Amino acid sequence: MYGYSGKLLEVNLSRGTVAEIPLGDPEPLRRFLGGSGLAARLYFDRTLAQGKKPEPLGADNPLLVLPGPLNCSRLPGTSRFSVATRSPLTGLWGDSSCGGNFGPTLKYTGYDGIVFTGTSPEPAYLYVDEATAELRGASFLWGKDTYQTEDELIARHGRGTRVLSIGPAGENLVRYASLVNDRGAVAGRAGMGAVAGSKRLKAIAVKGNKRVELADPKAAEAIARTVRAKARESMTMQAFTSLGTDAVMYLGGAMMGDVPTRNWRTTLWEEGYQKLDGAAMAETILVRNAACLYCPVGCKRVVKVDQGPYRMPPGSGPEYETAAALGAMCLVDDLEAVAYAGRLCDLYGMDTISCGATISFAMEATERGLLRSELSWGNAAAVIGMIEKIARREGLGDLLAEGSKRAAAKIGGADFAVEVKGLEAPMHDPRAFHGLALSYATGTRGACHMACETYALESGTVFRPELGLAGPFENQTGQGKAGLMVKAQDWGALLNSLTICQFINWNYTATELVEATNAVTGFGYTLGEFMETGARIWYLKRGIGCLLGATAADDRVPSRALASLEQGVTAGSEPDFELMIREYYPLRGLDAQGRPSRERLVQLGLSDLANLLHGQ
Amino acid sequence: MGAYKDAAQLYDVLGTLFATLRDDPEIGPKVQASGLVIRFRYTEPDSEITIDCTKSPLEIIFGPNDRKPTVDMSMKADVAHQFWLGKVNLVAALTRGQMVAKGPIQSIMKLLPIIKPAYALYPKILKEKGLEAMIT
Repeated sequence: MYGYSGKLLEVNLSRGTVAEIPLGDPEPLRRFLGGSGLAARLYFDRTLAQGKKPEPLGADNPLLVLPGPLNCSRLPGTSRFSVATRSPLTGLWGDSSCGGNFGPTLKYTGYDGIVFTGTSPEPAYLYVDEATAELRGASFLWGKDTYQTEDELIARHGRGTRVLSIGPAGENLVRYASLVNDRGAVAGRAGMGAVAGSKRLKAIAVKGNKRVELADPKAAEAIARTVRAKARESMTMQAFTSLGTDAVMYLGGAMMGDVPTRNWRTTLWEEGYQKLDGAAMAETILVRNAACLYCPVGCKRVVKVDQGPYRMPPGSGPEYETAAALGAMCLVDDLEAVAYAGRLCDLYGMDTISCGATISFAMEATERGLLRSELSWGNAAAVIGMIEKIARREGLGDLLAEGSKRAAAKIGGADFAVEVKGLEAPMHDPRAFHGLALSYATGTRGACHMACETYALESGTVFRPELGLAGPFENQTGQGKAGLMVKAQDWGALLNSLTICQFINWNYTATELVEATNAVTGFGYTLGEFMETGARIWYLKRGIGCLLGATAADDRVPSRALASLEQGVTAGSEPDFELMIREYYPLRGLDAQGRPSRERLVQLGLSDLANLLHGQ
Repeated sequence: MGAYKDAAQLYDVLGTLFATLRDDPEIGPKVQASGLVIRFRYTEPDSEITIDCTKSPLEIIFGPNDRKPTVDMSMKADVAHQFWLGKVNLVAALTRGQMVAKGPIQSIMKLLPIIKPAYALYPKILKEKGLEAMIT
């Protein structure tokens, strides 16, 4: 077995036991790879296939932490890992991808992933190295933020220890709580931190140097060299190195109309975009950039503020999504305040997208008289105060900790809560790139642009001629987007199962990524088989969502994010969502209820899922 | 045939555009403050324009010269024409190599707020020069 150690850890938190599970037959790995794909298969086998439907915050909801097969290959961009389970925010399938150094270090301990079940009677953390895997008491860490937790566990276990932890938000079951490693590398989306909190799992500390054998190390290194060279030449990668992902704030906001602003109501905020842009950050609060393991780009920001109300020591700085969600969405144009708000989210362990979007929703609810609060557009102090309250579930924070969908159900305003299936939409506007509407509507975890490559394809950041996606694609039309979406979703499912960075991935051709996977695993995929693997993973996640209650009615996008704006660069642009979804369903092989057809599932070797969805 | 009939016409149109930006009371100082030497190299027709913001007032130089550029942008003249009409997806053009930009990325990104107002100016300049037919 190449690219894998061949075993998982199973941790029963109720019983306090830790056991090794041999992976045995490599065929499931070939069919589901790792990361969120393998997580979906393991989740399905342990729950739905056995007639169980665990509540998201219930003891029987397994929490899976899975790196991918490429993690220890030194191939650029392969340090990510997935955290997955049934989401407390959506009630459906949830997975969250995370960078940093935790993923490869977990692999270097000799395990391909961890499955947590049960609930610990007391706060606990899992310590794993090459010789040890055991649960330890974490009462001394409970209540501490993610930086403090990381520092204490590194002090305890020594240099080289990598820590993935929850903060107070996870402990308090904030429905969009995250897990954090390396001081700001975050598994942010879908509330995986709340599930860890419900299990009283404070942290996982890993330390190891065990090699993982590759099928063809020379071939892997040759591809790595090619990709590194391309990354050096790429303007996009250069921009990410210098300015972070926030390099696109002005370009996206002022020139493309892609930055949701004032709760998706305008893109006329040119000065604000300039103030929050990565270039402004580079000239003010940026200390240096930082990189995940084996990354030649280093898009992460380390920032500090020396004085004033937002004074903070060097640490994680805002990437684009954070700057947009806590800045543009709330009309806060003070970069120091936005950076501080983002830092608080990292410390408390909360997804900045859902947090910023929910606060923005609450601002509008306050404006409309649905809510009495101190929240108002551009009020940075109120945003920061509310982040504290959400993390602690104090006052209005208790309601907003539930996310915008649940908050709207209680106070009204569903028409301006921009979420799909309960997951707040990320910071890209479908009126700038119409395919995003379909991407949000049909994402397997809710509104998401990272589960598929549509956004990168539509914006022209990457083209995939080998997949029949040579482009360029007209961004403001629904024509042809259904076909694009199907391939882009299959490809995205592969990326999240290989746990490769979606930015660095742009420097691999499709063929190079197949060859890289073969060089690591020895699976010998053709491009066709590779794409079929992506399709299998996508359908499995979709099927899990259906079994957990999602229907065709949930494949929609709130009109707030579709209705054309009167002014700005996207004025008059309105995605033809009905056209896209009408064309998409038959191309995807979905029936009127949104279920994958039996035929397609059987063809992909998912008969067990087909039987559960359609009967024997 | 391309949008511009020859290098002289390109110099006339784009020279007017850059001079208008330079003389604009809001945009001009921002361009000047960039302190950049920006060289645009075009093909079909072969031509070159350099904007030297190290000089005050900034200089616009047509044709090859010995100024050392901080930012070097290369493209077909047709791509430049479409770009100033606001019809080129900048990201896609860079990805496909239709536009090649070299230089410190931070400086290049800082040009964007300067570029944006030019989208409105360019068709006006074409009209003033009786070149409405080029606005397609």
